Amino acid sequence: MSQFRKWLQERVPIEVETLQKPFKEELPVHMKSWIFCLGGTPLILFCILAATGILLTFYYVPYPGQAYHSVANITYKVRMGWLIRGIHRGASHLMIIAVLLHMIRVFVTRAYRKPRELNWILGVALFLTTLTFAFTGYSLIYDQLSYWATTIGTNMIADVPLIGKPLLYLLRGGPNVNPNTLTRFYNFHILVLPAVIFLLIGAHLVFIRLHGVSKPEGDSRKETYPFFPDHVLRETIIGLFILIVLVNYVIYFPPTIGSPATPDATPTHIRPEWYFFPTYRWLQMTSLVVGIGGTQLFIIGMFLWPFIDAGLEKIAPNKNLGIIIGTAFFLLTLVFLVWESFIG
Amino acid sequence: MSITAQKYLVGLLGFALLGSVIVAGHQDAKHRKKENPATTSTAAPSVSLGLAPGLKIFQEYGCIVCHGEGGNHGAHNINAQTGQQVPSLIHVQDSYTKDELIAKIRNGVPVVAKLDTNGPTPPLYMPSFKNLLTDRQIEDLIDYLYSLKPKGEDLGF
Repeated sequence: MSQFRKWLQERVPIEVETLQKPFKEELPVHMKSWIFCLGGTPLILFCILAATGILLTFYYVPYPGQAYHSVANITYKVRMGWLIRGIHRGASHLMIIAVLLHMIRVFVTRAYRKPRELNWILGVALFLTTLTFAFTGYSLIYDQLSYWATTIGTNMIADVPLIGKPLLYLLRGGPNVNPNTLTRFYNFHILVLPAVIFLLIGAHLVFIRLHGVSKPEGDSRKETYPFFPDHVLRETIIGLFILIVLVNYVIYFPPTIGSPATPDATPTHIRPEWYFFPTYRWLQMTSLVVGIGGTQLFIIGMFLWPFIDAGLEKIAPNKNLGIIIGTAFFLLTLVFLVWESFIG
Repeated sequence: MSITAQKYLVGLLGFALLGSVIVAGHQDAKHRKKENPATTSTAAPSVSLGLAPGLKIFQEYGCIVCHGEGGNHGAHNINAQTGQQVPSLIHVQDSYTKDELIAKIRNGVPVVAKLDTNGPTPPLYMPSFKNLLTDRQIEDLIDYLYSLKPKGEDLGF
């Protein structure tokens, strides 16, 4: 064994200690609280999504005439296909929830402040990438609802100033949703977006390592605990718990599929998936210009939040204006979500 | 929670996950026996006796060649505005009245709208059946086409 190690060391000249170092890092004791484990949850879900996604590509055919039937095949014919598809779908929803909860935790504990502003920006980019993942994934089913949700969703891109129309053409591969759209969305979903999210997650983790885990305001405890095995065990517990919940959810609520996409028959009631409800409700309430402009401002505001908050703190110190504004926006988003879910 | 307790919990959850997967495996055969409502309802051989003449016309007069079995597998039609495919017929009941459909079958669709106005003319178009089908045959065909609408479809997942 020692000879093999020596052989390997000569060819891979990295010290074992260097590889072990990240696992030996000491974490502040507040991380023992389960709520602070939320950051690792999206990573666990991403791994579940990647594994099930790879399995789904074995049977999925990204061509309009066959896409729907290949999904139906996965759902009704392929051994355990319904389970894999159900877990993939469930994990995608949980991923959005997990990223949101993590962002809320970071927001409330103001962990985005100097010098961690760039990591917050990376986090917002990760959230938007997650939503794009969900949107492109939903469009691949190619049943009536997914086809028309794609049509309406991509229509909104046209109103983005300057780049809207070329971007829409690039995404659709033509002026309308057509076979090119499906292959492009498939390409984005399994190649471009995984590469983007992989880089973003990597950069996010590098920043956490560079700055160290942020401590909540007022927490003066000096105790630490090791990343391995303590923290890894906690994340393993969360991962197993999520998998159990997902498998049992799919057993009781297996995935189904609607009728095939029919480009010349618009369904009477089209709605996006729940995670777009707040935006959808907002767009329905306002004119198109205000709706799109407001959404873009909201996204820009999210990106720049650490700097906006620092500015508010200068204007009115210790008044917690940032928290008040953030809470107001969060509640408004929640109201739009509930409104569209039950009344829309 | 102590490290030992966490290790036990990991083991416990591991067993629970294994149990859940075994239950899922047990359910697998049942799930795969369930037929896709959208597929079965459009399958041509499942039409009732009253619809058989319409199905026969659909097959013998070549509708099936472009629109596919059950009217649901449209052939590829380059640069056609309808998703570059010959349209599916399973929702004609929602999209056309009987009179509109009669007119469509009689007159055909000689010019198919282009997806890209600068692109090539779509090669497939619907011919006129005015001189090929009697009024009675068109009615039978429409009865069959209306029957293609998926029954009990469950939209969403």
